[in-house]
Amino acid sequence: MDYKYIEQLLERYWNCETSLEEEQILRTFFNQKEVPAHLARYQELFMFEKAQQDVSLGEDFDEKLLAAAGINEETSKENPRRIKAGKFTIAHRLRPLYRAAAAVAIITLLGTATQHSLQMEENSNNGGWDYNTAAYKDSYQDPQKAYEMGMEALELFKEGPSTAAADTLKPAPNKQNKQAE
Amino acid sequence: MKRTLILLLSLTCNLCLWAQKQQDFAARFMQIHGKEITMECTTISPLMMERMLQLPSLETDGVNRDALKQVKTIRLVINKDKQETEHAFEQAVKLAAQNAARYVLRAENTTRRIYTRRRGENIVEIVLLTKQNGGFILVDLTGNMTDAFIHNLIRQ
Repeated sequence: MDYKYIEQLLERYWNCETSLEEEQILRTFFNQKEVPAHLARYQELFMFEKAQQDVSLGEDFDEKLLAAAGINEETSKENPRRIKAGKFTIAHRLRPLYRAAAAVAIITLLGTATQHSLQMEENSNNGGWDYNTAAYKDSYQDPQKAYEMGMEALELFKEGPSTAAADTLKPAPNKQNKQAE
Repeated sequence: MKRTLILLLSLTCNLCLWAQKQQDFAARFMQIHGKEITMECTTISPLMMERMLQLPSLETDGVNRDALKQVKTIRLVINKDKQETEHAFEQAVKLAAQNAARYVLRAENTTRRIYTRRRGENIVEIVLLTKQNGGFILVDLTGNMTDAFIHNLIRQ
């Protein structure tokens, strides 16, 4: 008998070029009882494939599974478990954000409290002066020039001879003034 | 990723809070009206005040030295455009009125107004608004100043 066709199919099978129909031909051929000696070594492979195709869940599979899960089949049939579909609202979706916001709020609160206590300490050292030092950028680099400008600025507070007669400063009528005077 | 984001957000919040420390009158006035009114602001920082106190000329001048010790910063805002003088003066008075709880009018006349800000026993800020030679001048001193210092500053 000429097995050239089978040998060609086998060659194509190893090269993964066979179609499903050709593979079925090979399985049918190797499931025969009598297979030529030089092809007998491939028989086991094709018989194994055939055997695997027949593998399926046994009839007692459900029973075994329920027993393993500890569920009595009869009881579960009488009182079937009801699973209620829950609504996934926007509030649920935003829940991770609430946590993040809470974390930010806590850290900010702690930061503010720390800053406040530091500021209080700084203020007690500065006698109440509560301005941001970093906000003052010097216009002069030379202390002498800065001094001259500073003295000019202080002089402006004094009543000048030209304005003193006409515009005598009148203390404003308020509580702070009374205390000051 | 979420933790990094939270950390960054927190740092930003804290930085914002830190940046919101007290602002003096001159800085606030410049911030609000700096674009509409032509003004020049000259500043002396606390650090420069300390350097000024070490000047040899001040070592012999005990009066000025003692006076300057109470001052931490000086800002001088000048507007020389006569057309804007009235407007600048009015806006400065308006700003002080808006912050009446903070700045108390201490003395006034038609061309001058002096406001003080008090914290505890000390005056921490004194602001002079004046119209001189047709121009508007704002002088802002901050520090820990006593009433006696302010009295001498104005009356001398």
